[in-house]
Amino acid sequence: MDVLDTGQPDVDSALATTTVGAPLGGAPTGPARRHRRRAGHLLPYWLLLPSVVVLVGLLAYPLFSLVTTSFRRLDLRQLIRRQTIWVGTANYRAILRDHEFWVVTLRTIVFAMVCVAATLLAGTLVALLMRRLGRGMRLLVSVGMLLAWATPTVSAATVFKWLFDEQYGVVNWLVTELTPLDWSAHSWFDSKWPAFFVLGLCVVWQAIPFVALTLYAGLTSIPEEIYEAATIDGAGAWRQFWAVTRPLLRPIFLILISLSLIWDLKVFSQLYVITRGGPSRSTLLLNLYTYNLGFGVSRFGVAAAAAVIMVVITFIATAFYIRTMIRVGEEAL
Amino acid sequence: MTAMRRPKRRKRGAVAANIAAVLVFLFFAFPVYWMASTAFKPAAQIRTFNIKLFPTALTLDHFRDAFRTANFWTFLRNSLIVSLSTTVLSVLVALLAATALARFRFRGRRTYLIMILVVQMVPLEALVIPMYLVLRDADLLNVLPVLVATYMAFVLPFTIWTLRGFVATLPVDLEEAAMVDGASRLGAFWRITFPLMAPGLVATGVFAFIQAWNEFILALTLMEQQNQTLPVWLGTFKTATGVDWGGLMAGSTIFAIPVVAFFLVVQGRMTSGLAAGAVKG
Repeated sequence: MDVLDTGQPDVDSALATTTVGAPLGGAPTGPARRHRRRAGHLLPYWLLLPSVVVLVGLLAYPLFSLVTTSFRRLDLRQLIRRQTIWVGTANYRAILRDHEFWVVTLRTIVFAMVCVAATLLAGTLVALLMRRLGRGMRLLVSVGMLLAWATPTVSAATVFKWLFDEQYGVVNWLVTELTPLDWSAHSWFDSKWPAFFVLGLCVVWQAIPFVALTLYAGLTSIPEEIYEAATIDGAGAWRQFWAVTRPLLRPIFLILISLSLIWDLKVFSQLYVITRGGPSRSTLLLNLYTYNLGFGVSRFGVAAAAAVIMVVITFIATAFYIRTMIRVGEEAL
Repeated sequence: MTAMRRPKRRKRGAVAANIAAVLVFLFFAFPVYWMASTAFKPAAQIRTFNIKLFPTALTLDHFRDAFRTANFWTFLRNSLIVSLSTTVLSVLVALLAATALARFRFRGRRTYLIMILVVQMVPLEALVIPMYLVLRDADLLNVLPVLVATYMAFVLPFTIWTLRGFVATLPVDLEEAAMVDGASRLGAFWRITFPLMAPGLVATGVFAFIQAWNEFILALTLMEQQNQTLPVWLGTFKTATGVDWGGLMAGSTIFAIPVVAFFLVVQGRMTSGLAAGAVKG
């Protein structure tokens, strides 16, 4: 599905001209050829070796170690004495019996889904808007979005905390100036929903640009004639979107949804900076909950069990993503 | 032709679209503007509810304060060392892998590609626990090169994926021609393909740099408080007298500037690279 014009012929074209194990290009003849072929046979594996070493040592091994840790009791005492005590599935039983774990997990999933829905909706609207704009205005919108996208997450989180500050925040000031309400000392962080609103807004603000720009790139690949034909057939804006844009951009939508879901499930630094789970743990999400279990109260075994569950949840979202990727770009893999 | 049939409606639509565009721009740009303008405002204009959207006086006090916070220069140095090392090492390793993936077809290639996709999704926040425990047992906490190694774990998959796309766009014919003319495969690659790949390498490298520069949770857990990187300094920035917003915004601005600058430079290439990764598989 070549929906985005990325100007990349990509591997499928390269594959067509390559033979197994041989370098691209004409093979030499005679003994030299046999020698080349064998060297060529191993060469790709040598090239991959360093990356495999890094990925196995620094991703696969920690992942394995995470799983084994989840079957150990590893509190402060064992940590200091460097004891290894196997406890079977006790950590999992403990975590699954913990009411807060279920609340936090459910909250994490709902939070991610709301953020994804908001991001996709706003991103689509912005992309459609960009299509209708002249060059100058389109550049203006792109520059604004690039600023938001480029801002480091920790900077962004700090700024949002400042925008919504109780005493001197510009948002409270704007509300007080523009509406009859007096929000001169309105706190956004002493109850759950306003705090979640600020957190979600910060996440979505940074997530929209990627979605909008990708969708816009997709939109520009749809020929104008299709829309003209649709207009002649009497299709309104909504009908055009639903009957033309949506099916044509379906693969992009699917990939953006699954990618956003994976990203929003693991929100950590914004949460750490903006609310740190407060007030009274009401905005705690799974990653911070796990972090607190480990580095806060030194119950590393239980924290590892929670982290394993987190990995499983992410993998379910990932499986959906990979399946889409394979279906969309089968020839490339 | 729509324009001819309904000129008025079209015009009103364009005006509405332009207004919407300005609002969208403000929504995205205002927080960034507010960060920078607060950083340059005198404290008296920050600690007041009589807010002025445009500062009437400018000061560099907050930047000076930020530079003077304990260990700031250590944090900056650490951030630079870690980000640059991660970038160089990741791009080198990824270049090898990308060449293999784009230039050869071999058994296990598809599996490797799927693995690269999968490992990108492993939440680092979950791996931080075993990483901490393993490094603690090996007495390797608070060591910068080790932090670099852990950063490669999450920078590398994306770097490989993106570079593979770049290598695949380069014509093989030129390399073959050089080989016919007697150049070795390595020589052909080095003299023909490598220069052509430079823009791709730069774009990928910048992206790796940004990711490493922004990383938060690994530095937070694997480094000691006096030996941190900038994002952790920023994320845990507090003063004795409550929140110093001027200093915080100055810190955020300092931290954001290199990323925003880099980002704007390579943006075009990066969006197409990301889009290629996202759409073309």
